[in-house]
Formats: sequence, C-alpha cells, structure tokens
Amino acid sequence: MTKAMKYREFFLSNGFYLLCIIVIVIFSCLNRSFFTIENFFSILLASAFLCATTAGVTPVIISGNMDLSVGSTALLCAGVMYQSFHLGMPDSVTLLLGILAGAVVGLINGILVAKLKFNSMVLTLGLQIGYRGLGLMLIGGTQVKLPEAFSVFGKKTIPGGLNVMVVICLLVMLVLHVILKRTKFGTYCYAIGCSETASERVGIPIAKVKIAAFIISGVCAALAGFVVISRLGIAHSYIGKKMEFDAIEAAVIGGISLNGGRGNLLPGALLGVFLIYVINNGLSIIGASEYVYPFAQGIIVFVAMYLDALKNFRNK
Amino acid sequence: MSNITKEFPGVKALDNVCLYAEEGRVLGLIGINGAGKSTLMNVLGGVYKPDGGTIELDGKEMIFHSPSDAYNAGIAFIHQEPQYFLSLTVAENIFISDLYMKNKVFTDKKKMMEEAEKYLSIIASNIRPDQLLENVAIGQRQVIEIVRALTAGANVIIFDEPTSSLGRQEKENLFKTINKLKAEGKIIIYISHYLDEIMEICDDYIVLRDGKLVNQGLISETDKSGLSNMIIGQKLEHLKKKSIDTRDRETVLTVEDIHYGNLLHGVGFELKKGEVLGIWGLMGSGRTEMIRAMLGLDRVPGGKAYINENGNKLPIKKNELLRKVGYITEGRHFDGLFLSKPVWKNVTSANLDAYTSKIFHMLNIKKEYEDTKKYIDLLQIKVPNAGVKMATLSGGNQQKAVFAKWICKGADIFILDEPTRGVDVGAKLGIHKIIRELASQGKSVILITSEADEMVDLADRVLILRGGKIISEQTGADINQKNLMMIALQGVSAS
Repeated sequence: MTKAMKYREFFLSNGFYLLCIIVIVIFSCLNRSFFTIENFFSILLASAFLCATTAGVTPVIISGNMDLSVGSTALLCAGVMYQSFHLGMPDSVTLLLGILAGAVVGLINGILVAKLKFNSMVLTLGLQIGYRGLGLMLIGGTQVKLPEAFSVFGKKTIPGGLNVMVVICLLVMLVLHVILKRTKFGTYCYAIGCSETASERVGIPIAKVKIAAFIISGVCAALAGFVVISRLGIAHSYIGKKMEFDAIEAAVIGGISLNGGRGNLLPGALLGVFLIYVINNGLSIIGASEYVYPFAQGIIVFVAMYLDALKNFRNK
Repeated sequence: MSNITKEFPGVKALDNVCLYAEEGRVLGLIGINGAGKSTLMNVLGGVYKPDGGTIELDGKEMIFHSPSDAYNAGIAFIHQEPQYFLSLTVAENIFISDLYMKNKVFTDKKKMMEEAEKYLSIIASNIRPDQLLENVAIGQRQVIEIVRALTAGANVIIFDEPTSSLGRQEKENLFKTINKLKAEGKIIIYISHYLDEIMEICDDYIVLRDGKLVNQGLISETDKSGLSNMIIGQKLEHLKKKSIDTRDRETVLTVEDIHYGNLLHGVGFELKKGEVLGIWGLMGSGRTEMIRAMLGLDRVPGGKAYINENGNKLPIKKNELLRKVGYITEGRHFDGLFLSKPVWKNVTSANLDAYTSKIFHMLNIKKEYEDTKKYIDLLQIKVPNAGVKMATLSGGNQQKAVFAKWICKGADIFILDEPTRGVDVGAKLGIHKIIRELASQGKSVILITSEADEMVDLADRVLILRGGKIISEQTGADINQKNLMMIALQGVSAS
C-alpha cells in the first residue's frame, strides 16, 4: 500500500468524523459561546427526542425496511397521553398507555410488512396520514396546554445539570446499540438486511424479527412524543412533523445504509443526530437567517452520503 | 428416500426416484444439467415438497415443510450459491442459525470466535473468525457453509457442486474434510458433474437422467468412461441436419484473453460472418460469464475485443460492443422485456432513435406500431394485436418479441443465452427457424444452450469450455450429442 492510498483509506473510513470536527471547529472560531458546556447541554436537550426516534428506526432500516410513520406515531401517542391525563389516570398509567399506543402502531406496521408483504416505505408513508389524523382528533385543537405534571417532569435534572430527558434518550440509544450488537435479534436484523433469501435458508424467523423491529420503532416514537410534550408543556399539531425524515437523515449521515445490513447506532447515528443539531445551533448562534438552516443541512447530508458512496464504490 | 416424484409446470423433474445412502459413505449423485439432481436434493433439504414418495431417516419417516425442518432433522445443505451475510463476521456467519448465548439475552461473541476458530482449523482455512465476510475473498466464502454444517452437527451433509468456487488447495482441504466426516460416520451426498472428483471422493454412485434413476452401484466397480456412458445414456442419436463450414469466412468479431475469477482463465474466440457459433460446457463452466465479461457487464480485468469494419480489425471497447450486439439473456422476464408495457413499445425499445423526430426527439408512435406489426408477421408472434401487454404473452412469444427487439435495432451479432428455456415445443421450433434465418442473412450468432439437441441442430461450429479454457472446437459431423458430452465431461472426444 502506498502512502497516498493509506491517506485515501484513512480519509474514506474516517471522513465522517473529520466532517464533524471541521464543523465544530468552524463554529467555535466564529463564535466564542458555541464551544461551552451550557451550549453543549442545550444541543443535547434539543436533540434528545431525535436520539430516541433515530434509535428506534435503526433496527427497521438495518433489517432492510423503512418506517416513515414515526413522526405521526409520536403525535398519536402524545394525543393518547393527553387524553389519558385528562381522564384522571395516574402519571405512570398515562406514560404506559402512550408507550403501548406506540407499540400497537408498530405491531400494525410490522404485521402488514412482514406478513402481508407490503412495501414498508409505501405502507408507512400512507398509514402515517391516518395516525396523524387520529392524533389530531385526540388532541382536539392546534395547541392545548398540558397539566403542570408534564412540564415538571420535563424540567428535572440529574446532578451535574443534565436534563433527565436527555439521559433517558441517550440510554435508549445505548440500549438499542447493545441490542443490535449483542443479541440474537440484533444479529438477525443485520442478517435480514444483508440478504433475505439467505436468512430464510438458514432458518431465521424473518417475520418475527421484522415485526419486533417495527414495535421498537413505535415505542421509541412514543417516547419521543413524550419528550417533546413534557419539554414544551403543550401538545400541538406540529408534533412529529418531519421527525421521520430527520431520523432517517441522522441515520444515513451516521453511515447506516438504507439498503439494510450495515451501520452502527454508536457512534455513527448518534453523531448524525448531533451533527444536525450542531449545525442548527451553530447557525443560530452566529446569527444566520433561519432560512439558511435547511440549505446547510442539505449540504452536510450530501457530503456524508457522498463519502458513503465513495466507500461502497471502493468496496465493490 | 423412496419413490420421490416432483412435477413442475410442464416438466416431470423427478419420476419415482429412490435413493439409499449409508452412514460413513460418500454417495455421488451424478447426471447432466437438468437431470434432476438439484431438485432431488432440494426435496431432501426441505426446499421443495415432493408430489409423491417418502423420506426416511434412521428408519423414521420424515415430512419436511421447510428448510428448517430438514435442518433440525440433521440434514445440512451446502448450496451451489452459498448463503451468507456480507456485513457480519465470519463467526456470526457460521453460527447464524444457532447463535451462542451467554445467557437468555446476550450472544456470546467470544465463544463464537473460539468455536469458529476450531472448526476453521479443521479444514485448514486461513480465514480469521473476526473478519467481516465482505473482506474474505469470494473464492473462500463457500467455506462458511461447510463449517456451518459441521458445527450444526449434521448427520446428512449434501454437497451441491461444492468445488465450483474453490481453488486447488481449498479443494484438497475440502476432500480431506469430507474424508474426516466420513470417518465420523456421517452420511454424505456429493453432487458434481466433474467425474474426476466423483471418482476420487465417492464410494457409491447413483445416476439420474431426465428425472429418472438410471443406474447405481459402487465406484470401485466402474470407471470414468463407464459413468459418462450412464450419464449420457443410449439416446437416439440425433443426426446433424446440415452444417456449413464457416471456418474460412470473414471474421466479424475477435475476442481475446478473457478472465473471470476462478472460472475462466484467458479464453478467446473468433466469430465468423453468417455462422451460428455454439458455446458448450457444463453448468458452471463459465459460459454466461464469458459473454458478460466480453460485453463489460461484469467488471473483470483483461479481455480484448476487435471488430471487423471494412476489412480492418479494429479494437472496440466493451461497452461499445454491448451497444452493437443483440443480447438475449437467460432471464427474459428479468432483463429482456418490459412486461407491463405493450408489445410495440418492447419491440422498438432498443432502437428508439430511429423513431424520433429531429426536433425535440418526439416519438413517432404510429410508425413504431406499424413496424411492430411487420415484425410480428415476420417472426410469427402470436398476439391479438401489437397493443397488448407483454405479460399476457406466452413464454415462447415473449422470447420471439425479444428477438424482434434486437432485429429491429439492426444488430449484426446476436448472442443467445438459453434462447428456448421455458418455451413450448412449437415456439421452440419457431425460434430455431428464426436463428437459422438470421444466420443465412449473414448475421452472426453466438449460441449458449444446455440442450444438446439444440446445439446439434443449430450450431455450425461449437467451442467447448472446460476448466476455464476452450479445450476443443468441433465442426460438421463431430457436433453430435455423444461427442459434446464426452468432451465436456472428460475432456476427450468420443471417437
């Protein structure tokens, strides 16, 4: 291997990390308040819900499917929690009901995809309209104020000042990373994403694994919904809008292949989530126009994907 | 296994086949392409359900509903196309059906690595268990399946053409492994059409032909030529109708030095004007791969092509060559037709430039339709009209439409890969007529087929692929079934 090839190799396999560092360095130079603990915490807080959703869709993507309904699921579950609270259920039951609603949505998606062989992308794109509608009905208004208890929970911190929500969401990501890497289910997800025919031949319970992946996705979306409403203290009809695309974007930036079978939650997808919010946060700190955000995000997504394509091309 | 029968639409793939395999012995299952070997083993492996007959294992009757049933019963299948997962590690690939668990929740990666290492060393492989499979050389990946069967503690191990992707050293290791398994009292079924391998490794043999069991016995009581006679059988000799000596004609296309992994080691040939050049070889001899490499469809190093233009031999790039030829592939549904589009759109699809206006490149739909009608008459495609959807046509008529597409394009070189696979007898004769007419009009045809009759009927010249090389060229009366099969099986001609 020549020196030039070594550099190339290094650049390709670590390009994404370099990109992250470059972005952070640029913003740090532009504004002094960017590279501070407080700002780091605020980035974490803003991105918490996306950590949960991204972690949730990752098993689905790795097993070769797509879940475009996570945003609507988050809204639906927020609606369920709102109603349950309204009916005077205790906090724990309310949270449980919300999570359960997410699981049911995941179960429906999973069964339709795994058993009835729907194309997952088309199916979830269609069904999410219905889920959103149901959520809107439950909330019953464009913006409703939630009882105090919600926002109290949303403001709790652990010693050191880190928000509880952030801790929970990061834990979710860690747990799912371990599940994907260290359990039978996780290994099966990768296997199915690599080759469904081969998985069938070696006797992997494909339908079960796919359904489980969708349930995980639904539960995580519900959690994301909970995080959003408890942080804001209100439930509104915009909850979960574009969330599915942000989650997929984060996963893809982090090197999770949309063809399935490849990619890691940690550090890949986590950094993907951060990168999106670091850019948004950095741009707002340096006082850039809000209309610049999507453009900057687009560029970063493109660069990350381009690096990925280069890597795959070389592997071929 | 007794009285196994399996029918596919239109063919009886297995007809009352009985198979008896003993512990500690290697049974060789032999037969020419399409004799029913793979079907029989797929029945045993639980992939297909038999239409009749029973399977007994250790005296117990078994019914397999799925591959995993067969697997649980201790039957392991080393597939022709190995089943593996590129982004998992070698160890995970090996233990995928039965992952080691530390406890109820977590997999035991360390144990898997150790165990994988142990089994890999049995067959003396230099693959490391923690390597990602995508970093393992393609030729070595089949080892995974073999190790997988070993680890699963299978009692019946079926090897389906296991050596096709193995190098020499790996092959020797494989045979050592098989002998070890044999000593452990496993039942081994070995499918191959390489008689050398059968002679070397097997104790017993059974010969299938056209889905029927035609012979069985001990390897020690027979020899290679005995086996090949059984494989070929005493079929009525199909006489060559007519063949033209094309050897002195003008060369249209010269191909040199094509390599393709372990399959092809520098093959080349010349294609003459107005001939049907047959490429003959056993399945897995690299017939299709040779064409794909020549046309640049698979990225492989090496290979040069020259085309004749006004008497000059000019080098041509692979992708330009692809544009010049009409390539009728093995799978017309897959890459030959637009099934959901009407016939006329299919027929003109390769030659749309001829139907577009100078400005804006608007399509002249009326002309497309009229021309398609012409081709429908010419090739006798049976359709109510040119506007029906491709999917509604029968296989034979679809295939004729593929021909029409390339004739419409005006190709001078036609490459036909199994042009009559899956079409009925009537359509087959029609396609044969089309091929002969193409040649008589001065077009050059490269014909790949697994059917000896077809080769004998159509080819003016036959090149025989074996062991990655073109080992022989047959012309005239030498193109007969016996000769073709003998050379493909043994490397020497019958006479």
